[in-house]
Amino acid sequence: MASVKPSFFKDPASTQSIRGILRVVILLTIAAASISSRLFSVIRFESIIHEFDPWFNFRASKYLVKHGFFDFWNWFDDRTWYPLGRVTGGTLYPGLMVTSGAIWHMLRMISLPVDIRNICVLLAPGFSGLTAFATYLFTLEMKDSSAGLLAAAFMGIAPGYISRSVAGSYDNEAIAIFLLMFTFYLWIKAAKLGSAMWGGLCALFYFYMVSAWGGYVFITNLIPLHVFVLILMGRYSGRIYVAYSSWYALGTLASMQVPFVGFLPIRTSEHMAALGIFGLIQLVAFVDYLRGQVPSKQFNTLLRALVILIAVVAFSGLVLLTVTGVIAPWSGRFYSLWDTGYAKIHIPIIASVSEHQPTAWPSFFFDLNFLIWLFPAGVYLCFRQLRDEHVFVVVYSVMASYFSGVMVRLMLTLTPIVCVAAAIAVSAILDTYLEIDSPEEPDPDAAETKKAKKAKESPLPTGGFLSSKAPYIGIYSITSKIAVVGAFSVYLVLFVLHCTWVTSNAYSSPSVVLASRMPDGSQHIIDDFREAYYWLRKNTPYDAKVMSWWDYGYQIGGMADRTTLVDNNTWNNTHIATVGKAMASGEAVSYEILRKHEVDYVLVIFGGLLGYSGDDINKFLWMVRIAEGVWPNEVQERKFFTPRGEYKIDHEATDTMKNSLMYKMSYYNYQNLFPPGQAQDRVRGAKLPAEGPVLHTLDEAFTSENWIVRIYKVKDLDAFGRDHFAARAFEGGKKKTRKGGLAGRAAGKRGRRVVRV
Amino acid sequence: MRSIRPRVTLCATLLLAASHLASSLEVPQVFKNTNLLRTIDASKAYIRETIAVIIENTSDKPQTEYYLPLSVPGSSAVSFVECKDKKEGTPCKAEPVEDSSDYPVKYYKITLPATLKPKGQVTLAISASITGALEPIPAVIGQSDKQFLSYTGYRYVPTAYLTEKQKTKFRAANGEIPDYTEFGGKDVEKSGYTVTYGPYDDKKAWSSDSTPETFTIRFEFTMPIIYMEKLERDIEVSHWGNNLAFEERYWMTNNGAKLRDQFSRLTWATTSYYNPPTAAIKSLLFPLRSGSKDAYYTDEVGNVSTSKFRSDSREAILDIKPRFPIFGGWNYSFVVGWNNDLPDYLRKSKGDGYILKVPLLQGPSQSTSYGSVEVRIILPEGATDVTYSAPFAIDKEERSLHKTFMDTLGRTTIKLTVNNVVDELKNRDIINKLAPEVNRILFVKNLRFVVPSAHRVRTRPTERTHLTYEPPTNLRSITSYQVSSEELFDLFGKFGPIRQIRQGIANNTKGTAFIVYEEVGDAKTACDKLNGFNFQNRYLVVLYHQPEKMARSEKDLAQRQEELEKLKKQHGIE
Amino acid sequence: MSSPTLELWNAAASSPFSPVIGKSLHATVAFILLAIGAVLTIIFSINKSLVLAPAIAFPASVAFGLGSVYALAAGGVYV
Repeated sequence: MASVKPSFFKDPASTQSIRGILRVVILLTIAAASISSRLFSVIRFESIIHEFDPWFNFRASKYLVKHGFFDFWNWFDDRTWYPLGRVTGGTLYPGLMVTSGAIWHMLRMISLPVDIRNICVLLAPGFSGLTAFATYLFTLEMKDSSAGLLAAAFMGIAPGYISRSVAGSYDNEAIAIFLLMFTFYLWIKAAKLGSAMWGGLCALFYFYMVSAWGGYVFITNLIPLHVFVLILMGRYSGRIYVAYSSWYALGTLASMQVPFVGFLPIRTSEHMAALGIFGLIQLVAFVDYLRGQVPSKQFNTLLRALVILIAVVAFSGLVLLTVTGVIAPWSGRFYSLWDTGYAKIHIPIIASVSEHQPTAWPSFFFDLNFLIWLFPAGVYLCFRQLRDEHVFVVVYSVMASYFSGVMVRLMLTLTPIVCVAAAIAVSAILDTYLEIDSPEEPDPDAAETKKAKKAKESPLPTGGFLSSKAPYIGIYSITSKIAVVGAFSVYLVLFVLHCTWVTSNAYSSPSVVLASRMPDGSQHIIDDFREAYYWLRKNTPYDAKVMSWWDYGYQIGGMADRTTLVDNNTWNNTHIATVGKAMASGEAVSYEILRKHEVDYVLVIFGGLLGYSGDDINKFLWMVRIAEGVWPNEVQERKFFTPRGEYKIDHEATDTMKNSLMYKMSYYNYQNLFPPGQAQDRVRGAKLPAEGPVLHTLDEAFTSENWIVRIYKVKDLDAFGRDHFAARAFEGGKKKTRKGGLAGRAAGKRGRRVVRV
Repeated sequence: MRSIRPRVTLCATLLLAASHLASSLEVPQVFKNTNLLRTIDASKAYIRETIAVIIENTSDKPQTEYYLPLSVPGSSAVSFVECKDKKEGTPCKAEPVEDSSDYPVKYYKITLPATLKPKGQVTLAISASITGALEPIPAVIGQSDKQFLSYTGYRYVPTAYLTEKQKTKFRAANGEIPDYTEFGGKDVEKSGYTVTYGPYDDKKAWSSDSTPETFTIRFEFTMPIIYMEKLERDIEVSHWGNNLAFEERYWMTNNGAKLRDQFSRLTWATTSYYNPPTAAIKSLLFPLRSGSKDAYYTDEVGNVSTSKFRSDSREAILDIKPRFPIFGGWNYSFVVGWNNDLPDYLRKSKGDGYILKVPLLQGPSQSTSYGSVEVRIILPEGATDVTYSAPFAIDKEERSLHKTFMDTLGRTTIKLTVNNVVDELKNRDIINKLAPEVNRILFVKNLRFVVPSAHRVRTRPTERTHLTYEPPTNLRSITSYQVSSEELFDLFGKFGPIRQIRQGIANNTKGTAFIVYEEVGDAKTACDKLNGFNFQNRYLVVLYHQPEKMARSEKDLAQRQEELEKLKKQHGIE
Repeated sequence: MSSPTLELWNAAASSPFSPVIGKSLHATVAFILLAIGAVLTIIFSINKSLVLAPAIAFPASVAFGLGSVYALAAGGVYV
């Protein structure tokens, strides 16, 4: 060893390996940073599944682990969408559950029997480390490894991605973003090398992506778009042909193996672009072949005729197929991508989800911080080089920018490319300004020849544009170097601080438990949801049916383990509207619905006591709207507004509002908690009427500690065959008849007297 | 009163019907009971029956086997029976007679500690815990109503022999006893917490042919009836981590009177300000052994944040609050766990192997009964030749390998199942011995469990806490201070069942008393609540009884007395 | 219930189980072992040769293995 040492660091081979090790170490550190920055909620609360959808995924994963893959594949779940049930195995993207199931089995094999819940909770942070790695590889193809490392670091901690991948947020996006980046990397690789193997690998990961997230359509359209743009730019080559054909053929066949996708790739409009480009590239290849065989003059005529013919045939075929219904038209969610107002008018259920709203512009800065203003610079740098892969970045940037503006949720697809572009920009700046040796003398000729050489080496004609604009390379003044590098160091540090702050404050709340502070500053956890769900789980019959608004369906299924009527899957709008109607109608109508659906318990979320604003009264208008969409004559939104058009719950509330089941269940018995006449709703800041609502057909069964969750039991039919209104009137009657009678008489007397006067 | 009678007859008829099904056990009439006192203690959520009896050998041969029938009416069952010679304190063996299970009584064969010569006498103290004998009446109550339990038992103590003199004392949880069978005679007396039947003279041996008379007592019970349908308890030894990990999984039910209407949060929230006694389970207190740490409390949906854990050098207490109050008929299941340092529980045996000594059952301090208890003792990988001796009869024993983190072969695991357990059996220990044979650092062989005698357990300071009360003035100045024990029971009994009260009668102890609670938790509440309480125009000083400190202060007192005498002499004062 | 095992237990009072590494040291030991493992791995990966395998690679594996056991213990999973 000792004799080797002196030459060790000068030896180019060992410097290479040291660099390689450094790269590995840096990537590992980035992975560690991205994982640990997602653990706020685990440290602050506990290892728990967050939000709503993850509860379903978690339940499905448990089912998979318990019953095995084939049972999972054929899973018919009769405990949701009562009485319809759900063919769960065929209507979900199984990638996520299969991934965690595989990890579970693998760990078991090396005798680490980790609980499936912990795997599910930590899956998203774990995959974020891999995403950072995939981003590194992707950026490596664009520029070099220093840009790659920067991109990986950005990707690891960018809040736009963290928002969907903190520990416990066990959703499809957790693995999908990794798959997205990795598929793109493989595509770039395939397109660069023109290799069928890379194309096949790309198809394989495309298949994984299809099985994991509905957002695979983004890949399905982006890769064809890339190819299309390349063809338009006249950059068609054999490499593109091989890459695209192998990807499309294998990828589409593979994606059709996922039951939920099935024949969609050849039958829906969303997938037509890929098919069309597949056809086009065959044509282009054919034309390309012809060009080699036929003299150029004839070729031009031939080409024109061919193009027109095929365009007409293809378009009319498409129209015909769409009209006859063989190809499904665009689905509602896609229309809402083009017209942001579409969903609000036609499909309230899509518009009612907050993550489907258009993005507010501050959230770009919130989620991406300084990356967002480096993003255009990075794209510009891509334009300067504009190799095939840079075209991809440009296309991706344009598309993702548009979509992220339309829907908050799609910020997620924008984040990776912003990280890549920004990393290219930052690394270009640092490359230039971190050069310690200043150039001795400006030598424009040398620079130009260098550029020209580069241009010659490039397989594409880049034109005179580049060489004429880049006369010198290098910065002369140390001061400007220090200033720029210093400024960027500050930006980078601020970026890290911002990311940590955003993650810790905005994205690390499990939403199942709420944190509050005690007067002495200690943390107090408000655990009403789990309290009520656990009560349901322990103290109601196993086959009890619980009705609630669809938001809570997955949580009830996951935590209370009871049958629900509707859940977050929202595949059946009519069924959801039925629940909406039951909530929005008076008791007589609702009771009939409840009886018909054999509902045993009704669950509502009420934040009035605590000031929890995400409660059912605030969501009520969506229930009304969705119900109105199906029964426009029976439920009408305007009846819930005061004549002045206000949404009120106090004494000004309309009769329809006051008689609705939702209103009654929310405020039942609530006014008794306060001194007479002082009941206060802390969310809406309204004083409630002194007389609380009376319930005839339901009994209060359980109310959580802070009244957030209220559960009502649906009364059985009356033992004497009366309806509940009559029964209640009779029971309350004994005392009241007389009083009522007296009052009536008194009123009558007074009335008469008035008449006499 | 009137409402009780029809029930009694009905009960008797049922018993009669049952008794015809099986033939009586033939017990050789070789003993007679000269004097018998039966105490039925219903202050816990189950019945604790103590029989103190003087027996005499009436045959002409020495005898060793004595039979005793215990009444197990309805769905009740005997949890365990203990017996000892009352004078010597030597324990004797009590085992059930197998084929007597169909009777409304269950026979136990008691092997006397020493052979009893003809005409010889011995005093036996037999105690038994019986679960399921208390029935809430009314079975359904409102959320803030009082809960009443009812107990039905035989007027005359069922015995296998002639009993010359006998008496039955029934101790209720508090003084509120609205109904009890009076039999119209003078033999029934109610005073304070107790109802006494007897004394009765010359009662014949119990036989299933006649219709035995029964009495029924209905009394208020302000505590929940905690019933653990199942308890799974894991004790895991980690020699790498130097740790003994406990984890307990409970399936709990409140067996008290069921809730009549649905639960009203409004009533609950408004009444909870003045903390009335309730039949709902609001919290559970787990007294752990000192040195316990890292306690956790979770359930099927995750961590429960409403728990307090305090651990210091003297004691460790885990105080947990269920997610919601558990009313009669409601269920709840949860998991608690904690860690201990291994050296306190594991010793290296002389020669070879190791010995492990762990409590077989811990559990909450509130009186609790268990449907079935499964204790898994997970020993390190490669432990062989494990034997154990358990503190009480084990119903089922299974051995298997348990595979967990980083295991190749799996850990030797012993699963012990006991059915129908009461918390009386808490904190009894097991010791294990292990021999040399190493494939990991620790080798396990010949594991044996050893139980310290029940007596030793009971004298642990946390098991019973002694409270003293004394007026703040000088001890010697209070000679004419009188408080009846009834009043003390009333006052201190509010906080939980009392095992014993000892009032000072000597000159230097007057005005002081020792209150012995069944539960540490109750003692703690009493101490907190009553310290400084104005009781009969005097302020109480309530302290935990700490023998070492007392001894010291006595010495102190003596010293001061001496000094005082000296001073007196010095100044010539009488 | 006087049992011979109880006597055995009492007899062994002077020799309680003595762990190889106490609880308070788990984290430190785990860190040191893992660090040694990592450093040795890096050294080996820079200069791969069969000769160095027993000298560097083998101790690295051992350090990783034991280090992960104590890392688990430090994390509260007492194996």
